Amino acid sequence: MRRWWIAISSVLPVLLLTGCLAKVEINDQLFVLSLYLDKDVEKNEYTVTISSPLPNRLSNGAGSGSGQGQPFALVTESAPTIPLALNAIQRQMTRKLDFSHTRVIVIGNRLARAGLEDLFNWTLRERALDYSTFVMISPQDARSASELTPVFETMPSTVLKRFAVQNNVMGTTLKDCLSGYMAGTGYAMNQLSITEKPVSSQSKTEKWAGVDGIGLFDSTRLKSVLNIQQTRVIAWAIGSRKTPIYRPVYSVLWDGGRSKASVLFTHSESSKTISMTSSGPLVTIKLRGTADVLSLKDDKRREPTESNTYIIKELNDQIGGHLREALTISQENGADILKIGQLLNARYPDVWQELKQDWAGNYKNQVEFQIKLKLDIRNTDMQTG
Amino acid sequence: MDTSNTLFQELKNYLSCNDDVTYFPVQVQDVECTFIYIRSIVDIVMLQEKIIRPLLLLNEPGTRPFMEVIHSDTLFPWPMKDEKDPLTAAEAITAGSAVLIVNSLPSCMIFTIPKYQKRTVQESQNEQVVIGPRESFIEDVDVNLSLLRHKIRHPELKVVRYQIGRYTKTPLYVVYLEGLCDKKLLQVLDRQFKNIDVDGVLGVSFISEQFKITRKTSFPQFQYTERPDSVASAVLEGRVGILLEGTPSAQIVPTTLFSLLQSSEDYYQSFIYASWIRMVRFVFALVSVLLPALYVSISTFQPEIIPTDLLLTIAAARENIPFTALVEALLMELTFEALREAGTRIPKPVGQTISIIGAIVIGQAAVSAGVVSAPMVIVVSITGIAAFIVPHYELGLSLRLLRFALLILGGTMGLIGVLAATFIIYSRLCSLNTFGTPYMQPFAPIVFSEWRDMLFRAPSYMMTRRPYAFHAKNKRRLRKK
Repeated sequence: MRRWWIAISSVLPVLLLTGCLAKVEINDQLFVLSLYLDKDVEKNEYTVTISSPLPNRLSNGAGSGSGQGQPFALVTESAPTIPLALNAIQRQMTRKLDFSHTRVIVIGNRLARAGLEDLFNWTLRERALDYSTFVMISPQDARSASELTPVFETMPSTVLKRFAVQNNVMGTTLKDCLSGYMAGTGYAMNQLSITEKPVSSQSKTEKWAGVDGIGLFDSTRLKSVLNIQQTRVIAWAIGSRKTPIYRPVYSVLWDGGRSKASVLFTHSESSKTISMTSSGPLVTIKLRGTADVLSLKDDKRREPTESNTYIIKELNDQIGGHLREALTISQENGADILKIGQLLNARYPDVWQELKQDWAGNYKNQVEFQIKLKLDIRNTDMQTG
Repeated sequence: MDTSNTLFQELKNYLSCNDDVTYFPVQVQDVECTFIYIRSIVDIVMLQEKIIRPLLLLNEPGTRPFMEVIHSDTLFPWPMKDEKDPLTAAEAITAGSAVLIVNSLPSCMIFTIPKYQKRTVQESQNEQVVIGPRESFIEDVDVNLSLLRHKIRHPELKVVRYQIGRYTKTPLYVVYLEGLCDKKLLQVLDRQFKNIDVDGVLGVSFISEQFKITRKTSFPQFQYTERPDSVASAVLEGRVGILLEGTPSAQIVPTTLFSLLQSSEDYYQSFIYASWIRMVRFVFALVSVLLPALYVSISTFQPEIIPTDLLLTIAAARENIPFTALVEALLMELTFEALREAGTRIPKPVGQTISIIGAIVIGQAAVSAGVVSAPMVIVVSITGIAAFIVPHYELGLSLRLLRFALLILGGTMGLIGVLAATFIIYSRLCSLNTFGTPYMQPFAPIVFSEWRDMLFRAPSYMMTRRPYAFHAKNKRRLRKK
């Protein structure tokens, strides 16, 4: 009997102290699938919109509304801080807000430019929020992204999540942003494009979302936005193009525009190395890629292998040029999106200790880039024109 | 019969009020004799051919005097035993013997010619196999011994008889292979069987419950089987088989958890398929204990570890369900237990109806009425099926019982509760010891060489040694030439 008491008295505290008996049934919770954050800079007020599924409209969990209305709800509240806004939303809810399934945070353009410290402070303390949550910016208000029409998916949050999961351009997570924020370097994230176009019906237009660039951040603020050409090559350099859902297609011209070809990169990888020179850190970025020729028109009807040398030369010029432009923009804005600071810290910690105080300035003035490209054409296609 | 024969009178007293006892008087050369027997339990043909007929032949002219030949071994072509004690004679009669009382003699002769009603050897009902022998034990222990002797034809196969029960006088046989079996185990069994003093034994489980080790755990310490080949295989490993008259299954000791999870089929099929199916069995044995507890604990305490899409499916299904997940699971599990029990007890002709009502009507109606959610029906069904994949029936019962404990802990304390309970069960399993054999061997203690016949089955040519767990003296099972 004594042994039983010892066993019970040693096991029971463990069970009780670890949050046992704190149960909430699934249908007593409101799972927030995506968060949309905006900031009114004049009023210094945050506007938080949550997107949550409505299980009662998900017919057996599979349907998309099936005529009973949208299977999700959007609730918006404004308050001086993010937790207060969420608290205001919670007050109106019959169920407990749960962030454990939040997969996307969309940040409005004005908030991004004003700085994300408050967001990071909140995310670091909200235990339920997963650091693998994807983060992206909206060109306008974040709320406008929440109103997109989910044509192929059930909910807008699913559309946005799949943009990131499928690596359409980049899959920046909260963890990537926090590591850049904590280390004082920078990060980049997808910028959505919100347009109106007829999609599911010809008669009316619907809000349609896509990704049309990436926003460059220093440790907290949005500094600049890259165009799609620069975005593609930066995504390549960051090494986030691993899944094949989106593969870049390049078009090149030579012979004064009379010969042309389109190629699809089926394989791409990158590496970054850092070394110290007398003028400062030298970063070598190597991009390797293998492409298939999709179409080819050679004005002089050269052999395919000979045409390929022209294609590769043009590709080198184009990709190298875009990368150089993108790096220049990032340096001008002090946005270390390739996380060179962390590379420097790992390789030359003493140098990092010296430079990290004003890393944005040092990144702009001291870091030099060297670009090496190794591009191959896999097939020697027949001429198509 | 002369009423002065005291033995006859006393015997008659013992057998009074037994209207099925036959007193058959015979006169041999002016000597009055009486056969006493119970017609329903003796072999009448044997009685007439081997005993009464030779006796009547003495009435023919020229034969030797009856009183001279009565005690000679050549009179009856059947073994007989002299007995003076009327109680012993009465017991022999009720056990299926015929007793011959000669008027002028103070003792009687007992002829053991029992013939009980029994069914023929049939196909195993509870441990079916696709390939391999299909015969199973029946209620008659002699037939069961004959089935065993047919498998192991060696003089070192020993069969020791005990008699249990003051009234039932049930024979119990301990079967083992001399030289392979641990003598200490035999001594323990011997001591225990000799100490059992009880009115009667009608089932083999009574025997196992006499041992202290079985009283503190729900896990079976004795392995039941109705297959002679399983007993033969166990005896060849150095284990002991226990057969009891009137029970169509044998018990095997000592036993381990892993031996209870093995099926005869494993050894008759290709080792590749057997290994695969054995792993499936292990997984589903775990599923049968853990799945409802995990479902309830995760869905109420840790929904963050459920993939979002699955979570939404569950949430949609649970919408408007009036019960908490724990109550829902308990309701379903109890209903399933009731259905299973009803399915076992119900007369065969209506058995089909119960299964249809259970599976379709109750399940479907409960879901469409919004009393329980569809995922819970799936969980309970999978668990129910998983419990039946365990080859040993009693182990399946034990796992089903533990499932309820885990379910309640999972529903009140979440994953931590499930993990704590699993840890306690695991510790208990590791501390169990049946007749000197650790219950979890070869997993705890670890004996790597025996892992080839644990989670998977290695080809038989690789299993050259007998399991260490059963203390067989001669370890080598297979010699390669």
